[in-house]
Amino acid sequence: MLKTLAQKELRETILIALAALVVYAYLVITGIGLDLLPYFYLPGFYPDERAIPFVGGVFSGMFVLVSVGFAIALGLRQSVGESIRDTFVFLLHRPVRRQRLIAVKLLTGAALYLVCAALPILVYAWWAATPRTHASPFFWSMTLSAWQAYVSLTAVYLGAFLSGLRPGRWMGTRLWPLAAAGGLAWRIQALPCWWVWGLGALIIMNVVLTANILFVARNRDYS
Amino acid sequence: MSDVIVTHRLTKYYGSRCVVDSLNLRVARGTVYGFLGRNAAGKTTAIKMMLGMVQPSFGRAELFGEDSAELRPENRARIAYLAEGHPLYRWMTVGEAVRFTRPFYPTWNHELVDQILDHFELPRRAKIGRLSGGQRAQVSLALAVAPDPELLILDDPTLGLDTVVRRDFLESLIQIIQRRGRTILFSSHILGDVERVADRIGILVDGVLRVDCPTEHFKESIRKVVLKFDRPAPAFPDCEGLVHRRQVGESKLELILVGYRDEHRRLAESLSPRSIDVLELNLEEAFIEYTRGPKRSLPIFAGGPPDAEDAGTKGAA
Repeated sequence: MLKTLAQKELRETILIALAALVVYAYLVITGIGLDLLPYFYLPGFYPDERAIPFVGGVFSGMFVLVSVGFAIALGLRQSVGESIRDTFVFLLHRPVRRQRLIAVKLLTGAALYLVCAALPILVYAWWAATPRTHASPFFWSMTLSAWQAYVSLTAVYLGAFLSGLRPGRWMGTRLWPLAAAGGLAWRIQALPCWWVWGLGALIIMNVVLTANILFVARNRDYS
Repeated sequence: MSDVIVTHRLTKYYGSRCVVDSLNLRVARGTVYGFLGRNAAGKTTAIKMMLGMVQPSFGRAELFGEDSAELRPENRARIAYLAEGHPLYRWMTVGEAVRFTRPFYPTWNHELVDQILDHFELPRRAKIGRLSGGQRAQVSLALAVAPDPELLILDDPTLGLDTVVRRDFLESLIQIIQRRGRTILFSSHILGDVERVADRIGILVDGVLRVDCPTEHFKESIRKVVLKFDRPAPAFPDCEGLVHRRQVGESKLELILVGYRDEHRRLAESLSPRSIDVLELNLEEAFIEYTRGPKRSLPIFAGGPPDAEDAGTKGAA
Protein backbone atom coordinates (compact mmCIF):
# COMPACT_ATOMS: atom_id res chain seq x y z
CA MET A 1 0.00 0.00 0.00
CA LEU A 2 2.75 2.46 0.91
CA LYS A 3 4.70 1.16 -2.08
CA THR A 4 1.72 1.96 -4.31
CA LEU A 5 1.61 5.47 -2.90
CA ALA A 6 5.33 5.96 -3.45
CA GLN A 7 4.99 4.67 -7.02
CA LYS A 8 2.18 7.14 -7.66
CA GLU A 9 4.33 10.00 -6.35
CA LEU A 10 7.21 8.90 -8.55
CA ARG A 11 4.95 8.72 -11.61
CA GLU A 12 3.68 12.23 -10.96
CA THR A 13 7.11 13.77 -10.47
CA ILE A 14 9.13 11.81 -12.97
CA LEU A 15 8.87 14.49 -15.67
CA ILE A 16 10.22 17.14 -13.31
CA ALA A 17 13.05 14.80 -12.35
CA LEU A 18 13.85 14.05 -16.00
CA ALA A 19 13.86 17.75 -16.86
CA ALA A 20 16.21 18.40 -13.93
CA LEU A 21 18.49 15.56 -15.04
CA VAL A 22 18.69 17.01 -18.55
CA VAL A 23 19.71 20.41 -17.17
CA TYR A 24 22.17 18.78 -14.75
CA ALA A 25 23.67 16.81 -17.66
CA TYR A 26 24.05 20.04 -19.63
CA LEU A 27 25.68 21.64 -16.59
CA VAL A 28 28.16 18.78 -16.17
CA ILE A 29 28.97 18.75 -19.88
CA THR A 30 29.62 22.48 -19.74
CA GLY A 31 31.73 22.07 -16.59
CA ILE A 32 33.80 19.35 -18.21
CA GLY A 33 34.19 21.52 -21.27
CA LEU A 34 33.08 18.93 -23.81
CA ASP A 35 32.42 20.35 -27.24
CA LEU A 36 29.14 18.53 -27.59
CA LEU A 37 27.20 21.70 -28.02
CA PRO A 38 29.77 24.13 -29.41
CA TYR A 39 27.44 26.82 -30.59
CA PHE A 40 24.79 26.76 -27.92
CA TYR A 41 25.41 27.91 -24.40
CA LEU A 42 22.72 29.18 -22.11
CA PRO A 43 23.45 32.43 -20.25
CA GLY A 44 25.88 31.69 -17.42
CA PHE A 45 26.82 28.28 -18.79
CA TYR A 46 30.04 29.26 -20.56
CA PRO A 47 32.79 26.63 -20.22
CA ASP A 48 36.13 27.68 -18.84
CA GLU A 49 38.85 25.09 -19.41
CA ARG A 50 41.19 26.80 -16.95
CA ALA A 51 38.66 26.78 -14.10
CA ILE A 52 39.43 24.62 -11.07
CA PRO A 53 36.58 22.09 -10.59
CA PHE A 54 34.15 23.03 -7.74
CA VAL A 55 36.23 26.12 -6.98
CA GLY A 56 36.03 28.22 -10.13
CA GLY A 57 33.91 27.93 -13.26
CA VAL A 58 30.20 27.72 -13.70
CA PHE A 59 29.40 24.43 -11.99
CA SER A 60 28.91 25.32 -8.32
CA GLY A 61 26.81 28.46 -8.82
CA MET A 62 24.67 27.00 -11.55
CA PHE A 63 24.23 23.77 -9.62
CA VAL A 64 22.65 25.74 -6.77
CA LEU A 65 20.36 27.65 -9.13
CA VAL A 66 19.20 24.53 -10.96
CA SER A 67 18.71 22.62 -7.70
CA VAL A 68 16.67 25.44 -6.18
CA GLY A 69 14.35 25.32 -9.21
CA PHE A 70 14.18 21.53 -9.04
CA ALA A 71 13.39 21.48 -5.30
CA ILE A 72 10.69 24.15 -5.65
CA ALA A 73 9.08 22.46 -8.66
CA LEU A 74 9.07 19.12 -6.87
CA GLY A 75 7.58 20.48 -3.63
CA LEU A 76 4.88 22.47 -5.37
CA ARG A 77 3.99 19.64 -7.75
CA GLN A 78 3.37 17.27 -4.87
CA SER A 79 1.24 19.70 -2.87
CA VAL A 80 -0.41 22.28 -5.14
CA GLY A 81 -0.78 19.61 -7.82
CA GLU A 82 -3.22 17.64 -5.66
CA SER A 83 -5.17 20.79 -4.75
CA ILE A 84 -5.49 22.03 -8.33
CA ARG A 85 -6.76 18.67 -9.59
CA ASP A 86 -9.01 18.28 -6.53
CA THR A 87 -7.51 14.85 -5.88
CA PHE A 88 -6.64 15.48 -2.23
CA VAL A 89 -10.11 14.30 -1.16
CA PHE A 90 -9.70 11.10 -3.18
CA LEU A 91 -6.23 10.47 -1.76
CA LEU A 92 -7.04 11.38 1.84
CA HIS A 93 -10.08 9.14 1.93
CA ARG A 94 -7.84 6.09 1.52
CA PRO A 95 -7.76 4.18 4.81
CA VAL A 96 -4.31 5.30 5.89
CA ARG A 97 -3.49 7.90 8.54
CA ARG A 98 -3.19 11.31 6.96
CA GLN A 99 0.25 11.94 8.42
CA ARG A 100 1.43 8.66 6.98
CA LEU A 101 0.18 9.59 3.51
CA ILE A 102 1.95 12.93 3.66
CA ALA A 103 5.09 11.31 5.07
CA VAL A 104 5.22 8.96 2.07
CA LYS A 105 4.87 11.96 -0.24
CA LEU A 106 7.71 13.77 1.56
CA LEU A 107 10.00 10.76 1.65
CA THR A 108 9.46 10.05 -2.02
CA GLY A 109 9.99 13.67 -3.04
CA ALA A 110 13.05 14.10 -0.84
CA ALA A 111 14.55 10.82 -2.07
CA LEU A 112 13.98 11.85 -5.68
CA TYR A 113 15.66 15.20 -5.07
CA LEU A 114 18.58 13.65 -3.20
CA VAL A 115 19.22 11.01 -5.88
CA CYS A 116 18.87 13.32 -8.88
CA ALA A 117 20.84 16.22 -7.41
CA ALA A 118 23.64 13.93 -6.22
CA LEU A 119 24.29 12.63 -9.73
CA PRO A 120 25.81 15.81 -11.26
CA ILE A 121 28.11 16.28 -8.25
CA LEU A 122 29.26 12.67 -8.40
CA VAL A 123 29.80 12.66 -12.17
CA TYR A 124 31.61 16.00 -12.17
CA ALA A 125 33.75 14.94 -9.17
CA TRP A 126 34.51 11.60 -10.81
CA TRP A 127 35.69 13.46 -13.94
CA ALA A 128 37.69 15.94 -11.84
CA ALA A 129 39.33 13.09 -9.90
CA THR A 130 40.37 11.31 -13.08
CA PRO A 131 44.02 12.13 -13.92
CA ARG A 132 44.85 14.05 -17.11
CA THR A 133 41.37 15.41 -17.66
CA HIS A 134 42.17 18.97 -16.60
CA ALA A 135 45.18 21.10 -15.74
CA SER A 136 44.41 21.81 -12.08
CA PRO A 137 44.62 20.06 -8.74
CA PHE A 138 41.68 18.16 -7.28
CA PHE A 139 40.94 17.03 -3.75
CA TRP A 140 37.66 15.45 -2.67
CA SER A 141 37.39 18.11 0.01
CA MET A 142 36.84 20.61 -2.83
CA THR A 143 33.36 19.08 -3.35
CA LEU A 144 32.25 19.86 0.20
CA SER A 145 30.67 23.21 -0.68
CA ALA A 146 28.59 21.53 -3.41
CA TRP A 147 27.47 18.83 -0.96
CA GLN A 148 26.69 21.54 1.57
CA ALA A 149 24.40 23.31 -0.89
CA TYR A 150 22.91 19.98 -1.95
CA VAL A 151 21.94 19.07 1.62
CA SER A 152 20.74 22.60 2.45
CA LEU A 153 18.30 22.64 -0.44
CA THR A 154 16.21 19.92 1.20
CA ALA A 155 14.86 22.83 3.29
CA VAL A 156 13.81 24.59 0.08
CA TYR A 157 11.98 21.44 -1.03
CA LEU A 158 10.16 21.25 2.32
CA GLY A 159 9.43 24.99 2.23
CA ALA A 160 7.93 24.67 -1.25
CA PHE A 161 5.83 21.70 -0.14
CA LEU A 162 4.55 23.62 2.87
CA SER A 163 3.81 26.68 0.74
CA GLY A 164 1.77 24.53 -1.62
CA LEU A 165 -0.06 22.78 1.18
CA ARG A 166 -1.00 25.60 3.51
CA PRO A 167 -4.05 27.61 2.64
CA GLY A 168 -3.58 31.33 2.33
CA ARG A 169 -5.75 34.13 1.12
CA TRP A 170 -3.09 35.56 -1.11
CA MET A 171 0.06 34.23 -2.73
CA GLY A 172 2.43 36.33 -0.59
CA THR A 173 1.20 34.64 2.58
CA ARG A 174 1.35 31.20 1.04
CA LEU A 175 4.93 31.68 -0.16
CA TRP A 176 6.14 32.75 3.27
CA PRO A 177 7.42 29.26 4.30
CA LEU A 178 9.32 28.90 1.03
CA ALA A 179 10.89 32.35 1.37
CA ALA A 180 11.78 31.69 5.02
CA ALA A 181 13.25 28.25 4.31
CA GLY A 182 15.26 29.55 1.33
CA GLY A 183 16.52 32.56 3.28
CA LEU A 184 17.53 30.50 6.30
CA ALA A 185 19.18 27.81 4.17
CA TRP A 186 21.23 30.56 2.54
CA ARG A 187 22.07 32.26 5.83
CA ILE A 188 23.31 29.12 7.54
CA GLN A 189 25.86 28.65 4.74
CA ALA A 190 27.88 31.34 6.49
CA LEU A 191 28.04 29.49 9.83
CA PRO A 192 31.52 28.40 10.91
CA CYS A 193 32.24 24.65 11.07
CA TRP A 194 29.27 24.10 8.75
CA TRP A 195 29.19 20.33 9.09
CA VAL A 196 28.61 20.81 12.81
CA TRP A 197 26.66 24.04 13.35
CA GLY A 198 25.25 24.49 9.87
CA LEU A 199 24.11 20.90 9.53
CA GLY A 200 22.67 21.00 13.05
CA ALA A 201 20.71 24.16 12.22
CA LEU A 202 19.55 22.60 8.95
CA ILE A 203 18.34 19.45 10.69
CA ILE A 204 16.40 21.54 13.21
CA MET A 205 14.91 23.62 10.38
CA ASN A 206 13.89 20.51 8.45
CA VAL A 207 12.32 18.95 11.53
CA VAL A 208 10.34 22.14 12.16
CA LEU A 209 9.23 22.29 8.51
CA THR A 210 8.21 18.61 8.48
CA ALA A 211 6.28 18.98 11.74
CA ASN A 212 4.56 22.04 10.28
CA ILE A 213 3.67 20.16 7.10
CA LEU A 214 2.16 17.28 9.09
CA PHE A 215 0.26 19.73 11.30
CA VAL A 216 -1.15 21.67 8.34
CA ALA A 217 -2.02 18.44 6.50
CA ARG A 218 -3.98 17.27 9.52
CA ASN A 219 -5.79 20.52 10.28
CA ARG A 220 -6.42 22.31 7.02
CA ASP A 221 -9.72 22.21 5.16
CA TYR A 222 -9.79 20.24 1.92
CA SER A 223 -12.74 22.12 0.52
CA MET B 1 -31.47 0.34 14.79
CA SER B 2 -28.09 2.02 15.41
CA ASP B 3 -27.11 5.30 13.81
CA VAL B 4 -24.23 5.19 11.35
CA ILE B 5 -23.99 8.96 10.89
CA VAL B 6 -24.54 11.34 13.77
CA THR B 7 -23.78 15.04 13.76
CA HIS B 8 -24.02 17.29 16.80
CA ARG B 9 -24.51 20.99 16.10
CA LEU B 10 -22.10 20.79 13.21
CA THR B 11 -21.24 24.33 12.18
CA LYS B 12 -18.88 25.85 9.67
CA TYR B 13 -17.98 29.47 9.14
CA TYR B 14 -15.93 30.72 6.21
CA GLY B 15 -14.89 34.13 7.43
CA SER B 16 -18.06 35.68 8.81
CA ARG B 17 -20.33 33.60 6.55
CA CYS B 18 -22.06 30.65 8.16
CA VAL B 19 -22.13 27.86 5.58
CA VAL B 20 -23.50 25.10 7.81
CA ASP B 21 -25.46 26.10 10.89
CA SER B 22 -25.82 23.71 13.85
CA LEU B 23 -26.57 20.63 11.80
CA ASN B 24 -28.03 17.80 13.88
CA LEU B 25 -28.48 14.72 11.80
CA ARG B 26 -28.93 11.01 12.45
CA VAL B 27 -28.83 8.43 9.71
CA ALA B 28 -29.80 4.95 10.83
CA ARG B 29 -28.13 1.81 9.51
CA GLY B 30 -29.70 0.61 6.25
CA THR B 31 -31.24 3.99 5.39
CA VAL B 32 -30.93 5.58 1.96
CA TYR B 33 -30.84 9.25 2.89
CA GLY B 34 -31.27 11.98 0.29
CA PHE B 35 -29.42 15.09 1.39
CA LEU B 36 -30.93 17.96 -0.55
CA GLY B 37 -30.48 21.64 -0.98
CA ARG B 38 -30.03 24.25 -3.63
CA ASN B 39 -26.58 25.22 -4.89
CA ALA B 40 -24.41 26.62 -2.09
CA ALA B 41 -26.85 25.38 0.57
CA GLY B 42 -23.92 23.79 2.42
CA LYS B 43 -24.36 20.13 1.40
CA THR B 44 -20.78 19.54 0.24
CA THR B 45 -19.28 21.32 3.25
CA ALA B 46 -21.48 19.29 5.61
CA ILE B 47 -20.46 16.05 3.90
CA LYS B 48 -16.79 16.99 4.01
CA MET B 49 -17.09 17.74 7.72
CA MET B 50 -18.71 14.35 8.23
CA LEU B 51 -15.70 12.76 6.53
CA GLY B 52 -13.08 14.81 8.35
CA MET B 53 -11.99 16.68 5.22
CA VAL B 54 -13.15 20.03 6.60
CA GLN B 55 -12.72 21.05 10.23
CA PRO B 56 -15.95 22.19 11.86
CA SER B 57 -15.95 25.64 13.45
CA PHE B 58 -18.17 24.12 16.11
CA GLY B 59 -19.80 20.78 16.84
CA ARG B 60 -18.75 17.34 15.68
CA ALA B 61 -19.66 14.45 13.45
CA GLU B 62 -19.48 10.75 14.20
CA LEU B 63 -19.32 7.88 11.75
CA PHE B 64 -19.76 4.40 13.20
CA GLY B 65 -19.62 6.03 16.62
CA GLU B 66 -16.17 7.52 16.07
CA ASP B 67 -15.34 11.21 15.78
CA SER B 68 -14.86 11.78 12.06
CA ALA B 69 -11.91 14.12 12.67
CA GLU B 70 -10.06 11.16 14.21
CA LEU B 71 -11.42 8.39 12.00
CA ARG B 72 -9.22 5.30 12.21
CA PRO B 73 -8.19 3.65 8.92
CA GLU B 74 -10.24 0.53 9.83
CA ASN B 75 -13.40 2.62 9.97
CA ARG B 76 -12.51 4.73 6.94
CA ALA B 77 -12.17 1.48 4.97
CA ARG B 78 -15.87 0.82 5.75
CA ILE B 79 -16.89 4.08 4.05
CA ALA B 80 -17.05 4.78 0.33
CA TYR B 81 -16.99 8.41 -0.68
CA LEU B 82 -17.77 9.72 -4.13
CA ALA B 83 -16.68 13.33 -4.12
CA GLU B 84 -18.39 15.93 -6.25
CA GLY B 85 -16.94 15.97 -9.77
CA HIS B 86 -15.40 12.49 -9.33
CA PRO B 87 -11.79 13.56 -8.76
CA LEU B 88 -9.43 10.85 -9.96
CA TYR B 89 -5.85 10.92 -11.20
CA ARG B 90 -6.28 11.82 -14.83
CA TRP B 91 -2.92 10.40 -15.90
CA MET B 92 -3.90 6.93 -14.71
CA THR B 93 -5.63 4.40 -16.90
CA VAL B 94 -8.77 2.74 -15.56
CA GLY B 95 -6.69 -0.37 -14.80
CA GLU B 96 -4.04 1.69 -13.01
CA ALA B 97 -6.71 3.41 -10.90
CA VAL B 98 -7.98 -0.03 -9.84
CA ARG B 99 -4.44 -1.25 -9.10
CA PHE B 100 -3.72 1.93 -7.14
CA THR B 101 -6.85 1.67 -4.99
CA ARG B 102 -6.90 -2.10 -4.38
CA PRO B 103 -3.95 -2.44 -1.94
CA PHE B 104 -5.64 -0.15 0.61
CA TYR B 105 -8.57 -2.52 1.16
CA PRO B 106 -8.34 -6.03 2.56
CA THR B 107 -11.95 -6.73 1.50
CA TRP B 108 -11.50 -5.68 -2.13
CA ASN B 109 -13.95 -7.46 -4.43
CA HIS B 110 -12.16 -7.75 -7.73
CA GLU B 111 -15.01 -9.62 -9.40
CA LEU B 112 -17.43 -6.83 -8.58
CA VAL B 113 -15.09 -4.23 -10.08
CA ASP B 114 -14.76 -6.31 -13.23
CA GLN B 115 -18.54 -6.71 -13.41
CA ILE B 116 -19.13 -2.97 -13.07
CA LEU B 117 -16.41 -2.03 -15.55
CA ASP B 118 -17.74 -4.60 -18.03
CA HIS B 119 -21.31 -3.44 -17.48
CA PHE B 120 -20.33 0.14 -18.30
CA GLU B 121 -18.03 -1.07 -21.13
CA LEU B 122 -15.08 0.80 -19.69
CA PRO B 123 -11.79 -0.21 -21.30
CA ARG B 124 -9.06 -0.87 -18.70
CA ARG B 125 -6.46 0.84 -20.87
CA ALA B 126 -8.36 4.09 -21.32
CA LYS B 127 -6.79 7.13 -19.68
CA ILE B 128 -9.09 8.61 -17.07
CA GLY B 129 -8.32 12.08 -18.41
CA ARG B 130 -9.84 11.08 -21.73
CA LEU B 131 -13.05 9.65 -20.29
CA SER B 132 -16.29 11.59 -20.33
CA GLY B 133 -17.76 12.89 -17.06
CA GLY B 134 -20.23 10.00 -17.05
CA GLN B 135 -17.50 7.40 -17.52
CA ARG B 136 -15.44 8.97 -14.73
CA ALA B 137 -18.49 8.71 -12.48
CA GLN B 138 -18.76 5.03 -13.40
CA VAL B 139 -15.09 4.41 -12.59
CA SER B 140 -15.54 6.23 -9.28
CA LEU B 141 -18.56 4.07 -8.47
CA ALA B 142 -16.65 0.88 -9.27
CA LEU B 143 -13.73 1.95 -7.06
CA ALA B 144 -16.08 3.02 -4.28
CA VAL B 145 -18.11 -0.17 -4.02
CA ALA B 146 -15.28 -2.66 -4.60
CA PRO B 147 -14.15 -2.70 -0.95
CA ASP B 148 -17.69 -3.72 0.03
CA PRO B 149 -18.32 -0.60 2.14
CA GLU B 150 -21.02 -0.47 4.79
CA LEU B 151 -21.62 3.23 4.26
CA LEU B 152 -21.67 5.10 0.96
CA ILE B 153 -21.50 8.88 0.95
CA LEU B 154 -22.15 10.24 -2.50
CA ASP B 155 -21.82 13.96 -3.11
CA ASP B 156 -23.95 14.86 -6.09
CA PRO B 157 -22.85 11.76 -8.01
CA THR B 158 -24.97 12.50 -11.07
CA LEU B 159 -23.98 16.15 -11.41
CA GLY B 160 -23.19 16.99 -15.02
CA LEU B 161 -24.30 13.64 -16.43
CA ASP B 162 -26.78 13.47 -19.27
CA THR B 163 -30.18 11.87 -18.68
CA VAL B 164 -29.33 8.46 -20.10
CA VAL B 165 -26.02 8.11 -18.26
CA ARG B 166 -27.66 9.37 -15.09
CA ARG B 167 -30.42 6.80 -15.34
CA ASP B 168 -27.90 4.04 -16.02
CA PHE B 169 -25.75 5.17 -13.10
CA LEU B 170 -28.74 5.20 -10.76
CA GLU B 171 -29.94 1.80 -11.93
CA SER B 172 -26.53 0.41 -11.02
CA LEU B 173 -26.61 2.21 -7.69
CA ILE B 174 -30.06 0.77 -6.93
CA GLN B 175 -28.82 -2.74 -7.78
CA ILE B 176 -25.87 -2.30 -5.45
CA ILE B 177 -28.12 -0.98 -2.69
CA GLN B 178 -30.63 -3.79 -3.07
CA ARG B 179 -27.95 -6.42 -3.16
CA ARG B 180 -26.35 -5.40 0.09
CA GLY B 181 -28.73 -3.22 2.07
CA ARG B 182 -26.09 -0.65 2.87
CA THR B 183 -26.45 2.77 4.45
CA ILE B 184 -26.29 5.50 1.85
CA LEU B 185 -26.23 9.26 2.18
CA PHE B 186 -26.38 11.00 -1.12
CA SER B 187 -26.68 14.63 -1.96
CA SER B 188 -28.30 15.85 -5.11
CA HIS B 189 -30.44 18.57 -6.47
CA ILE B 190 -31.97 16.29 -9.10
CA LEU B 191 -35.08 15.38 -7.22
CA GLY B 192 -36.23 12.64 -9.57
CA ASP B 193 -33.08 10.70 -8.66
CA VAL B 194 -33.70 11.14 -4.96
CA GLU B 195 -37.35 10.18 -5.20
CA ARG B 196 -36.39 6.89 -6.82
CA VAL B 197 -33.86 5.77 -4.24
CA ALA B 198 -34.19 7.67 -0.95
CA ASP B 199 -36.42 6.54 1.85
CA ARG B 200 -35.62 9.57 3.97
CA ILE B 201 -34.63 13.10 3.06
CA GLY B 202 -33.02 16.09 4.68
CA ILE B 203 -33.16 19.55 3.14
CA LEU B 204 -30.59 22.20 3.88
CA VAL B 205 -31.67 25.79 3.31
CA ASP B 206 -28.85 28.30 3.69
CA GLY B 207 -26.91 25.88 5.85
CA VAL B 208 -29.83 25.08 8.18
CA LEU B 209 -31.50 21.67 8.17
CA ARG B 210 -35.13 22.57 7.56
CA VAL B 211 -36.47 19.13 6.70
CA ASP B 212 -35.58 15.69 8.04
CA CYS B 213 -38.27 13.11 7.48
CA PRO B 214 -39.33 10.16 5.30
CA THR B 215 -39.64 11.16 1.64
CA GLU B 216 -43.37 10.44 1.54
CA HIS B 217 -43.96 12.46 4.70
CA PHE B 218 -42.36 15.51 3.09
CA LYS B 219 -44.44 15.18 -0.06
CA GLU B 220 -47.62 14.81 2.00
CA SER B 221 -46.73 17.80 4.17
CA ILE B 222 -46.54 20.30 1.33
CA ARG B 223 -49.69 21.44 -0.44
CA LYS B 224 -50.28 24.01 -3.09
CA VAL B 225 -53.57 25.84 -2.60
CA VAL B 226 -54.95 27.81 -5.53
CA LEU B 227 -57.60 30.41 -4.77
CA LYS B 228 -59.54 31.94 -7.67
CA PHE B 229 -61.58 35.11 -7.26
CA ASP B 230 -64.19 36.98 -9.30
CA ARG B 231 -62.45 40.18 -8.25
CA PRO B 232 -58.84 41.22 -7.71
CA ALA B 233 -57.24 38.73 -5.31
CA PRO B 234 -56.95 40.03 -1.75
CA ALA B 235 -53.83 39.56 0.37
CA PHE B 236 -53.62 36.24 2.22
CA PRO B 237 -52.88 36.78 5.92
CA ASP B 238 -49.76 35.43 7.62
CA CYS B 239 -50.34 32.13 9.35
CA GLU B 240 -48.39 29.18 10.66
CA GLY B 241 -47.36 26.84 7.86
CA LEU B 242 -47.45 29.42 5.10
CA VAL B 243 -44.23 28.99 3.12
CA HIS B 244 -44.92 31.07 0.09
CA ARG B 245 -47.70 33.05 -1.54
CA ARG B 246 -47.84 34.66 -4.92
CA GLN B 247 -50.45 36.39 -7.00
CA VAL B 248 -50.91 35.04 -10.52
CA GLY B 249 -52.64 37.60 -12.72
CA GLU B 250 -55.34 39.75 -11.17
CA SER B 251 -57.60 37.20 -9.61
CA LYS B 252 -55.55 34.12 -8.68
CA LEU B 253 -53.60 33.43 -5.54
CA GLU B 254 -51.22 30.50 -5.09
CA LEU B 255 -50.21 29.43 -1.60
CA ILE B 256 -47.65 26.88 -0.48
CA LEU B 257 -48.55 25.47 2.90
CA VAL B 258 -46.86 23.02 5.22
CA GLY B 259 -49.33 20.76 7.04
CA TYR B 260 -52.51 21.99 5.33
CA ARG B 261 -55.37 21.80 7.82
CA ASP B 262 -58.81 23.23 8.75
CA GLU B 263 -57.32 26.47 10.03
CA HIS B 264 -55.85 27.13 6.58
CA ARG B 265 -59.13 26.22 4.86
CA ARG B 266 -61.08 28.55 7.13
CA LEU B 267 -58.64 31.39 6.41
CA ALA B 268 -58.96 30.74 2.67
CA GLU B 269 -62.77 30.60 2.87
CA SER B 270 -62.84 33.86 4.82
CA LEU B 271 -61.56 35.59 1.68
CA SER B 272 -64.66 34.34 -0.25
CA PRO B 273 -62.88 32.91 -3.31
CA ARG B 274 -64.80 31.50 -6.27
CA SER B 275 -62.88 28.21 -5.91
CA ILE B 276 -60.30 26.56 -3.69
CA ASP B 277 -58.12 23.85 -5.23
CA VAL B 278 -55.77 21.88 -2.99
CA LEU B 279 -53.02 20.23 -5.08
CA GLU B 280 -50.57 17.48 -4.15
CA LEU B 281 -47.02 17.98 -5.34
CA ASN B 282 -44.36 15.54 -6.41
CA LEU B 283 -41.00 15.67 -4.61
CA GLU B 284 -39.42 18.01 -7.15
CA GLU B 285 -42.29 20.48 -7.07
CA ALA B 286 -42.50 20.28 -3.28
CA PHE B 287 -38.75 20.85 -2.96
CA ILE B 288 -38.80 23.82 -5.34
CA GLU B 289 -41.76 25.45 -3.66
CA TYR B 290 -40.37 24.81 -0.19
CA THR B 291 -36.84 26.03 -0.82
CA ARG B 292 -37.75 29.12 -2.78
CA GLY B 293 -40.03 30.27 -0.02
CA PRO B 294 -38.88 32.67 2.68
CA LYS B 295 -35.83 31.57 4.66
CA ARG B 296 -37.86 31.22 7.83
CA SER B 297 -40.30 28.71 6.42
CA LEU B 298 -41.72 26.05 8.71
CA PRO B 299 -39.35 23.15 9.36
CA ILE B 300 -40.55 19.60 8.75
CA PHE B 301 -39.30 16.85 11.04
CA ALA B 302 -40.92 13.49 11.33
CA GLY B 303 -41.47 12.95 15.04
CA GLY B 304 -40.00 16.32 15.99
CA PRO B 305 -36.54 17.77 15.46
CA PRO B 306 -33.67 15.27 15.77
CA ASP B 307 -32.29 17.12 18.78
CA ALA B 308 -33.74 19.46 21.35
CA GLU B 309 -30.97 21.94 20.57
CA ASP B 310 -31.62 21.70 16.86
CA ALA B 311 -30.95 25.00 15.20
CA GLY B 312 -33.26 23.87 12.44
CA THR B 313 -36.07 24.95 14.66
CA LYS B 314 -34.58 28.35 15.26
CA GLY B 315 -36.23 29.79 12.24
CA ALA B 316 -39.59 28.20 12.78
CA ALA B 317 -42.46 30.45 11.86
